Amino acid sequence: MTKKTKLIIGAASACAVVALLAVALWPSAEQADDCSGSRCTTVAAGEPIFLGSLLSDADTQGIDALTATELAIDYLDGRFDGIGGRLLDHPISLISENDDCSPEGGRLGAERLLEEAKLLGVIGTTCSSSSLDAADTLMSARKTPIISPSNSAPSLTDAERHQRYYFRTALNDLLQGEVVAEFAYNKIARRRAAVLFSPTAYSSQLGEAFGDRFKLRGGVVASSSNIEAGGGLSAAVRAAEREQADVIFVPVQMSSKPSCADTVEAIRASSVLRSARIIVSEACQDRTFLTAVGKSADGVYASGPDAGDTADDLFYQSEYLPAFKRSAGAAPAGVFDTNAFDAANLIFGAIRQAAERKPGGGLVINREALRSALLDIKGYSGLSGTLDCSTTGDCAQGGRIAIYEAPNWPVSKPRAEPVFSQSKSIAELLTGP
Amino acid sequence: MNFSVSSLPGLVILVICLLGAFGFAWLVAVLLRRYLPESSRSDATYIAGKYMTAFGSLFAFLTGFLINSEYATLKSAQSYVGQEVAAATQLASASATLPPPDADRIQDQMVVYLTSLPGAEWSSLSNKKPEDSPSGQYLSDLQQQVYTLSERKYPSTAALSSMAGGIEEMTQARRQRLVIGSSSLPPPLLLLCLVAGAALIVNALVTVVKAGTKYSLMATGLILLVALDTGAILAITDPFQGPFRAKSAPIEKLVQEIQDGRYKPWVNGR
Repeated sequence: MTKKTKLIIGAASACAVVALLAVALWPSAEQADDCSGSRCTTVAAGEPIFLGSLLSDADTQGIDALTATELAIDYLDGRFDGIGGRLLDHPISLISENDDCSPEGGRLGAERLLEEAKLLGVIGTTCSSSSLDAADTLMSARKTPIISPSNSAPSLTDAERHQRYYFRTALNDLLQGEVVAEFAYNKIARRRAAVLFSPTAYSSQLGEAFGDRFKLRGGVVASSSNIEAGGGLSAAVRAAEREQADVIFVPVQMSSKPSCADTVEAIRASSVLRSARIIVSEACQDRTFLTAVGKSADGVYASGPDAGDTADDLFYQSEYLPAFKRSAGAAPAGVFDTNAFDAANLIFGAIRQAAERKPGGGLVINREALRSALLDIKGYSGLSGTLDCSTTGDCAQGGRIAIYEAPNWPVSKPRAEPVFSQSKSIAELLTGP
Repeated sequence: MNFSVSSLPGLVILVICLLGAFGFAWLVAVLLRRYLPESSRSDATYIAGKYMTAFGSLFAFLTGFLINSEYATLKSAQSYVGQEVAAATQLASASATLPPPDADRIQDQMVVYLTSLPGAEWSSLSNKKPEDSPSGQYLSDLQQQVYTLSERKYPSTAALSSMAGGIEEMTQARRQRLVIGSSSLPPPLLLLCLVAGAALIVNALVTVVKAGTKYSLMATGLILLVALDTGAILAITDPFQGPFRAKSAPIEKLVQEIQDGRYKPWVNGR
């Protein structure tokens, strides 16, 4: 063998050794990358899985949502027996914070929840303003999925500003705005609308969505007034009087000040607006509204998710609703409790899909995989409707919006028939006129 | 009878049998040379030659019978594992029609049960102590979950009936597995086989004793055969442990499918 041949064989052997080493080390390098830093959360055997709730304790929608979240945890063992079930043989530890229905409340609550480094998901917030540029941003920065049962402001899932870990099971208000506009313009033949809104993301964006769709049909948005601005509620009502509005849309929450009930009472007190029809949104579709306004509520329309499908669901009727009543002492006061039940179950399902089971019972959960598992959800038959989570965070891609006329609201009469109901999808609205 | 040697890896069993057979042969060869007088060796070789066919046939018959019977047991065990997996698949498919929280819970419980089979359950069956396995309790929990659902109003009759059928078949297949696990190779039969093997080795060595040490090597093939046959019997005798055991791959595949969301219609692209 010549010296040159020996050299070639030596070099080839060295290359082969290097290649073998690279192949051997490559998978472990990739694995390290998958679980580096905070991307993975380890839950040791027997350790609880931490979930958070960031819901308003001053709003019945928030209180209902918390009850529903607790029921979802309770039902992990297949029974609504008041004893929390286990997920992948780990107990669930629910940390609750108040979103205060404000950006500051959302931010503070999110920061407090994130003090638990192993927090794997959050049900919240109640109000859109608590999420928008507040909880949604903070949670996404820490790769913690947050699923809201009741946020409906369109901008939260707008592709331009959506935060990666933000999801919601509530219907996007683009749908509600469209159906309310259709009802006002075509069903009750109104042409001059007034919008009385509060300066929150939810209220202003729903008012805007309604106005855009009303104008698209040929209607006029004669006035659009912030009820918390300088002149307050009375100035807003005067503007509607001045413009001779024949339909007034009030997308205001019961927890706002002035509240939805205060606003409707002020409109009812106006003799000029006697013939105007009042439509409130789902945030006002609440038993406390009917109690507060009393007889004057009769004839007030309320928009919101069509409760018919849920009321007909046998699981809802025979298991969930009795359990809710046992737990809360009364039936849900608002319309978002089932969205919260679904949101909690979506997180449980995503944890199941993303968790890597370790011998002895420990879990390793990759947060990117957790998000991917939520995005994999297509055609989930939830209590609130069918859910398909999109990359922009909307899990309710469409649904049936109904208009109810007081006193026949589903929150007081579970079998109430809507006066108008229509199915719409987000895709339909984004691609249509 | 609990043959702990059967739970060893195949190579170890083979080495033990080879060492045993060749050690025994060496001992016999030494004893023959020492105690069988030179003058008698021609006669001994002649007589032993006459007996070779009889001893060979007896050994072949006994080992053939044992290997065949143990292989049939292994096939049965594998068949019951297959039945159990098929029934579990039926249960998983039927649970997919339930509300998602129920389907998730049933499938979680199935994963717990199925995962325990190749580990804890098979090891306890091998030790003839099925009561040590937690699988029985896991299956009972799963049954309880299914029966609780059958008392409720919302699941469809078709789903409930399919789930009940699935869990029933799983229970039956497990029971059959336990029966197979509790049966064992009859010790006298194994002893008879070992005696026949030993007699064959002794006889083979007697046939070559006159020819000297060099020619004793001619018996090597036969000793090797006795070692391999004995090794095969020991290796195949436990269907839940050792080198020849019921394959757990179908169970592991189903567990993976459940964990990947194959039986959850709302989990897309898994």
